[in-house]
Amino acid sequence: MTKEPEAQAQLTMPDMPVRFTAKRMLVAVVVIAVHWWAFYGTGLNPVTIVEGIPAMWDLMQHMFPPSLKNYQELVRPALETVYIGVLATIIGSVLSIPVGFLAAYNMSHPLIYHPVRLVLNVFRGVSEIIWALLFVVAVGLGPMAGVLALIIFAVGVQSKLVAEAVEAVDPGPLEAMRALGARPWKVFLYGAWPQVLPLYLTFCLYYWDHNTRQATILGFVGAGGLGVTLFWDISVYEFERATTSVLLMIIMITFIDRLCLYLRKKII
Amino acid sequence: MTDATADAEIVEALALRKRTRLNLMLIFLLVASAGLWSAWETDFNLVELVKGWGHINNLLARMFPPDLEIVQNLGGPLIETLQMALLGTTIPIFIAIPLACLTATNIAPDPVLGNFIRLVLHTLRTVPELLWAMLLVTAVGLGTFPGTMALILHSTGSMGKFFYETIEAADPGVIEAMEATGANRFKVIMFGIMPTVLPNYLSIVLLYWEFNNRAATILGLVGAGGIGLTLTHAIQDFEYTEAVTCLIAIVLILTVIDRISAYLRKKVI
Amino acid sequence: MIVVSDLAKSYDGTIYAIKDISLTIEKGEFTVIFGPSGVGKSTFLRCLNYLVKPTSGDVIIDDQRVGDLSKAELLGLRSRVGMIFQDFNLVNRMSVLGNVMCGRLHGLSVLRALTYSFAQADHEAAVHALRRAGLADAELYNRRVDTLSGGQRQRVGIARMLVQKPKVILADEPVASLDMKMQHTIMRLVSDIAAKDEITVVMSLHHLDLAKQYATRIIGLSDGRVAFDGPPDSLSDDIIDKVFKMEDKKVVGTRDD
Repeated sequence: MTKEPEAQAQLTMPDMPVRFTAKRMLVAVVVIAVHWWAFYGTGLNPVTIVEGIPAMWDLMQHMFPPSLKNYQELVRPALETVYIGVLATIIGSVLSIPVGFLAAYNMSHPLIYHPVRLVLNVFRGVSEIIWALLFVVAVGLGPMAGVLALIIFAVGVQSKLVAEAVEAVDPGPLEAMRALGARPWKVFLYGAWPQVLPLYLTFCLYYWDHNTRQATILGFVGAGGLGVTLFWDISVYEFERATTSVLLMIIMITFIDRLCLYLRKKII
Repeated sequence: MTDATADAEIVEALALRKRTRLNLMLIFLLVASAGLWSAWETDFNLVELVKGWGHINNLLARMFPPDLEIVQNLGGPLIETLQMALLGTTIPIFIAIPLACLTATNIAPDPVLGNFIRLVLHTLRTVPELLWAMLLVTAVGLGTFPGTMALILHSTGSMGKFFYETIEAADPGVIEAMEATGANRFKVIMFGIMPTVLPNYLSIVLLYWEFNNRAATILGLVGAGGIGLTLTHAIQDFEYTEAVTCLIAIVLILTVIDRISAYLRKKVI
Repeated sequence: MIVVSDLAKSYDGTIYAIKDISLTIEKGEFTVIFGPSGVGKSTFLRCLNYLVKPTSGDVIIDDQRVGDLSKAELLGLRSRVGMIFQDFNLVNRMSVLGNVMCGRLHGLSVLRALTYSFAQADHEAAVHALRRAGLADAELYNRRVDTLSGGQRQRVGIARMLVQKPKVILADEPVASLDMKMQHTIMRLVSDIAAKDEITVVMSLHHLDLAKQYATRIIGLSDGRVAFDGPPDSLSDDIIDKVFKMEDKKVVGTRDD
């Protein structure tokens, strides 16, 4: 059974995909060049890493075993870290609801929407540590500066998330609420907010975890918490005590991390 | 159904509604108490806030107008920051992926090793970058070297966790099919898992690049290079107009990075 | 009861969704706005309660010019106009009871609204409305609305409208998402309620048989204008063809085309 010549001609092989296009080569060259530049600028390369290992190992040896000397003094700062995290999360989360409302394109007025979004970008743009530094200069040392710093950053991030969630809601229920004569804020609370709430709670839990992590090192700039004692211990070479603080930190963060994971499952 | 039983059902339904509301109110009270307790313990109250407001205004007044003369000195530190962030994002990829393959429960060769690696990754990601930086500066000295290493350590932990979670969520059917063809573990990973998982990775890598840029701006606080050092010096010297210039530079750079990241994300996804 | 004069709406200034619509709807009439998709039925309906602001023309409900009303008065008017939708427009995560009580949102005090607590009277009204709408099974009342079937959801929508004690019902393709049997059930439900409470109904439909069966008056729209206005029996076949523009019987191309 021989095939017709025309049918045979139709069974040609498809072209093999070209792997090495000019564009891909260019991208690869750029990536390698940029990395070369980065390695040069940071002084990181296999040689320096190998040279640095003895020093790192030396430090590790100094840090173990962790010292329990005066461990009671660590309890208060550790708790302070938790308090900072909790307070900043609560206030930040609450504030992000009205601010998020104002930053939502479908709920807010254009004259308000743009400035609010700009301010939020600034809040998010600067790292929390820098905010903490500024607040320490402004309101003095202590946990209050830390809480304020975390609130500013949290409002910056969470409000944007709330706004995006509000912008993505199903407009149907909103129309229904308007049709039965509800004012705009009631339309928001009963039509949009129920759709946004589960997502919002997920953010809150995520940021509680994040805020607690940040709270542990705010003390490096004097904004309260475990970071204060830790910074001191490392600076005066009390490495074993520092390790105790670090371990305590890890345990605290892990605990809250697991708690948040558990609560997030309960929401969905 | 008689009216009596129907009414009883309705009473029950309304009671259930009341109970749910009560539960919600309890949770609300719990959260509010936690907040109030935390505020008490941290001396966070309205009086302090009002006092602080005055100080903040004072600080703002001293910060503006920004000192523009130092702008030419910012180039070096800014570049250092970007370089640290780049390496802190790309190098961990090559470490985290193999580690993730060793610890993902569905393809790990040795459970004991897998658990150990999981613990290591957890420690790496739980210790904040700034702390790693400080420890490394104590060990090897000041500069961008410890800063970059700190970012690498932390990102390896974060990325590693994300990678192994993605691998564990991969379709078991595909893995089974590949194993049935006689492919060894390495090939199963390369051809069975990686193709499905890689697009997600790219998106996450871009996200971590954004995070690392933010982290890199503050590593200078502990002497680990970058613009954080310039900023810290400015504040310690009470040169607030210089400090605010640094801040503006940081915000601008991070905004540019975010835009680039969004653009790359669109191109890849 | 409802007087519409020279109503027109254009969304972009050049193309008109509806134009030159003038009619009077008496109290208690069951009016069906009939026509193919996209002809302007939804726009017309929404112009009646100013969810969509007309480009020109007037809507007068109960001797009140809707265009002259202040914001607060407009909200008051809307609270007396019930509306049901093709996709039900319920809040999915809220319970059945919660959704129905939303009908009372207009009159809810600020404090109650902020704390999501409706009064006992609102609860009772909601239960009565649900019963009337055919959902007597109290087990459903605390369930999330997205666990219900399409027909049940529309009943919830109807109950939400009932607690408003409306004088007018606007219905935007209320049965388009339902299967045939449920379509008739819901149409009958709305018809019965309207008759009993003497409510004026303005409903948009593209199902001819339903329109003919339940309406007391049919208004056919074509190209955004009124092409027919009269009782159902005088809706002849060639008028239907004109409204649906069915001159081109050949819909599918043949092999020779």
